[in-house]
Amino acid sequence: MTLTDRYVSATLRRVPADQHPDLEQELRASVADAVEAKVEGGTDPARAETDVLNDLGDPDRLAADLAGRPLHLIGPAYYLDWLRLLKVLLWISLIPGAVVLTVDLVDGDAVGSAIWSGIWTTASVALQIAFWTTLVFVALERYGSPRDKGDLTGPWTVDRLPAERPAREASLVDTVVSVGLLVLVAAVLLLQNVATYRAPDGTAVPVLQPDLWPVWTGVLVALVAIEIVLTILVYARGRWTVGLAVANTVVGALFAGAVVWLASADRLVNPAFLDVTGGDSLAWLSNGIIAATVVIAGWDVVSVWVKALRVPRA
Amino acid sequence: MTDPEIFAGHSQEVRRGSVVVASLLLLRTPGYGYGLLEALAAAGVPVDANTLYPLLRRLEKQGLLGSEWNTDEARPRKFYRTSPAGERLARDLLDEWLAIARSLQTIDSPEGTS
Repeated sequence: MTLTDRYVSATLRRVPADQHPDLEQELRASVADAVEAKVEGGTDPARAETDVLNDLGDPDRLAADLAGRPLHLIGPAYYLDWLRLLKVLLWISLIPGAVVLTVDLVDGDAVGSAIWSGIWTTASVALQIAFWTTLVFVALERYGSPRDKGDLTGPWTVDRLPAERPAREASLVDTVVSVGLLVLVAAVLLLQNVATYRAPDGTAVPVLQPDLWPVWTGVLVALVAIEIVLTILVYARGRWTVGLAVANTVVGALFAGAVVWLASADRLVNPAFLDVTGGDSLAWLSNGIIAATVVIAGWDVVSVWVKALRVPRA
Repeated sequence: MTDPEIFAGHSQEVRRGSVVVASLLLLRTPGYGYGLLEALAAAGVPVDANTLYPLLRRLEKQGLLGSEWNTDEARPRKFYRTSPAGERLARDLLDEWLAIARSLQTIDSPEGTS
């Protein structure tokens, strides 16, 4: 088997069978012509064959070009449609995650495991959506008629320009997501009294200290409620202002301060909960909660100040 | 002095369409793959073999080239010939090409003379 034989069979492997006889003969003739020309020019015959095949390059690439098949997953014709649709669909994956989270909490699962299964469900659904959406577009790219390209979402016109917004930096989506997360925090705090972790023997064991109720729980939920009001005010104003940033800093500091103080005094987590779940160190858990609270609250305060002090776009 | 790499990239952009026009014009006299490759190089429109061969098949599929096998000689070769549709397209593309060249010269001339 010569080098050319191997090259030709490597190329034909990726070309539809009905084109094989014609293509093979033409490719062989072209290679032979080129080799002949090189040999007449004084190149060693073996060397000439190698040179010609090297110039033709990767047989898979040549085969794709000869057969008119794209060497990309999603080409420029569909890329924007794919991206837009995927963005919209990925938001949907939050819904099953939230449903699983709520159901788990109502069933009285531990808050940690409920949050984990909510995140896991969201991630699985997002992966499924991304995979199937991409697969459909890959099929469209390869087998869709080129004439259809403008028809998928119709040709672009100025009607599709986003509505003019008065320099709004807080989007509706951001606001809804933020409010949703805050409601979730409040729900977790309040649900301690109805839906709590159940020990293997069926007794209800609250995750948080039972004696936080009603005073501390009330304080924390009230602070969360103020955060919700702030978030909605920001949406109404269109952006963070210095006044709103001050309020956000005060509320964030109070909430973080309360959580840190309770955790460091070992008054946040119910020791009985650790006993039934087999957790051994209350100090370790408390330190984890303190660190997480400081980082999240600090990040929130700083990022809000950055947004508030940034010069608004004209 | 222009960076040779930048020049090569933009030059390729400018020449991209010229291979189609040149091939359709040259193949009014029937020709085969490698022969056309050499003819194009000689005419100052050099092109890579792995670009030209897929292009010939595409033009044939679009009905701009016809083909037939010549088995008279020792090595059977597939000869391509520009079809009437290909001839018309080549004329139109050539007109467009020349119009673009004239436009560019017009744009350039005030700069060059002043």
